[in-house]
Amino acid sequence: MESPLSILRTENLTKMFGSLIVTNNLNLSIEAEARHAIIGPNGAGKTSLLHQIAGQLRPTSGKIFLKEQEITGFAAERVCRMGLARTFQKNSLFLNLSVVENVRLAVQQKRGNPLNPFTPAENIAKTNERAREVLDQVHLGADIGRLVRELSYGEQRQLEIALALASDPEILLLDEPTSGMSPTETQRMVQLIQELPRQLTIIMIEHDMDVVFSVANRITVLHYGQMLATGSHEEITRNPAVREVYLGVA
Amino acid sequence: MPADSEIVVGVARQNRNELWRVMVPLIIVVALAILPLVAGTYVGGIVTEILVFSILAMSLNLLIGYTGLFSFGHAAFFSLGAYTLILLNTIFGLNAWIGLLAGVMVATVGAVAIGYLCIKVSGVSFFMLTLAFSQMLFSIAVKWRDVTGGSDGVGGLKRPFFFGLDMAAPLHTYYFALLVFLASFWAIKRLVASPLGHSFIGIRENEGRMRALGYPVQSYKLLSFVLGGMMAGLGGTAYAFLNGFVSPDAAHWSLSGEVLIMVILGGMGTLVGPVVGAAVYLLLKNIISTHTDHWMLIVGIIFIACVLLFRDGIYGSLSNLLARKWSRR
Repeated sequence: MESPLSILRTENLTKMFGSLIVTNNLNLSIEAEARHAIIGPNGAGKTSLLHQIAGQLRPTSGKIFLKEQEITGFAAERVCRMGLARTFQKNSLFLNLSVVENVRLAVQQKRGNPLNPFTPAENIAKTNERAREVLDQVHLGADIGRLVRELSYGEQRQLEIALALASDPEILLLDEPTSGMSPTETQRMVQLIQELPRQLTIIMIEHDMDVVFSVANRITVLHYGQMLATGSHEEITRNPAVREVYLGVA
Repeated sequence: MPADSEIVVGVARQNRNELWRVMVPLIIVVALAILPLVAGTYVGGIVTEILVFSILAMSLNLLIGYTGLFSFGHAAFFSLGAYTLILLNTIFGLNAWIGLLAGVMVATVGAVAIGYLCIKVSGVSFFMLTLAFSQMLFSIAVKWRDVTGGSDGVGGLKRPFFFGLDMAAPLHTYYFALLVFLASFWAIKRLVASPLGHSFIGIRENEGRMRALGYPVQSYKLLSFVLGGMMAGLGGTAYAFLNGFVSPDAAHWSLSGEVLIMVILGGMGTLVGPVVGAAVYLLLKNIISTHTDHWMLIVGIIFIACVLLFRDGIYGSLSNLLARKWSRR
């Protein structure tokens, strides 16, 4: 069933909080370089799934494989170093630091020496240049000196993505990148995601179906922690089970 | 597009800022260097004390101000340094200079052991666990009478000569304290601006995100704890070196509390704050305690007032105020 191109997959993944099952025997396979959206009604277990993959949450049973290596129960920092970076649904930034300092923290972990106790961080050309590059990528190149707490909400969402990109991931998990955004901000975010390099695998949780359809080439529908369907835009919209539980059409 | 004159004014202001940035520290260092020559032994003694406790306060600030680790047992490492120096010198006759190094090393090893166990928990548990470990050292210092002299402490440090200078002379101990203080200040200044310092600040700001960015946060916390313990050990050995004496008070929780007050009073997470805090606290203590036995009461009231008035500490709030004034001009 798994395609040889699968870069990330779960095997009978299950997560229970007491008697509540948030991930139910899930077998998910993500192809390399896919733009894979995970959709489903509130409480379908989307964010919990992301937490388990990225190491914020330990699964109850089942396995997770990243590039065919098992990573079940790995700590977040280890998963990140293996090439998987994520953003958070609720902004999780360093609010009292400047924009460039935020991104530099991610860059120095991957490409610099975060244990250097002596050289002023702002004088290290290599990490600063890379940080600027990433900030240009998310259209924040002009805001490097600003304090993050002074950015608009939409700009903070862009910085969320910059932090993840700065870890040089092969797989990027986006947890509702457009949540809480105005239509203009959403449009800018969609453009930003579309501009990301093709070879980057993106797994995205999203509620806005317009965003899903304009970004994703593959869609998985979750319902009460179970996979209802996986397929292309066409296949998903035609699937009767999906229409019933998600799109609300009988 | 700003007018040319505005740009010129901007440059001038920047130059003036740059000038101040060099001049102010220079003036302070020169003032500290000539102070004992003009102000006499009594004032020199108080400033020596302030310099030594500043080292301890700066080291605690690395934990609570920069890494977000609220330790209430920092006296542990201060006392480890102090006792190591005094005991090695009085029992084994080890040269006090080597004793200084040994003191710092023992404090560092102690910080590795205690830190390894404490960083497993966070928040209030961390606070209580660090307190418990330092109180354990306090009871050892009190109960192991044969070696530590119990609650009387141990004295009789044989101070060495430094290129013919008798290190027992107050003037020489003053300069010794000043040198150790300046070296510590400089080390912390470099550290907090470095990638490692920024990693610590990142953990203080958002631990979960640091993990998601690939940082082994626990190891970084331990590293910060050990660096802080090491510098506290340096403060402790310097303290014992100056006084030639150490008692269990050096390990008591009240000292951990006093240092915490210094850091909060001055402004945690700032370079200069702990020094200001140590100076204000020790000056108040020295001045008020000559007038009344209830000096703690008055210092307490001042502490409460400062915390309510200056939310970022005395130095933190003043520098915020000045920064706002500068940017408005």
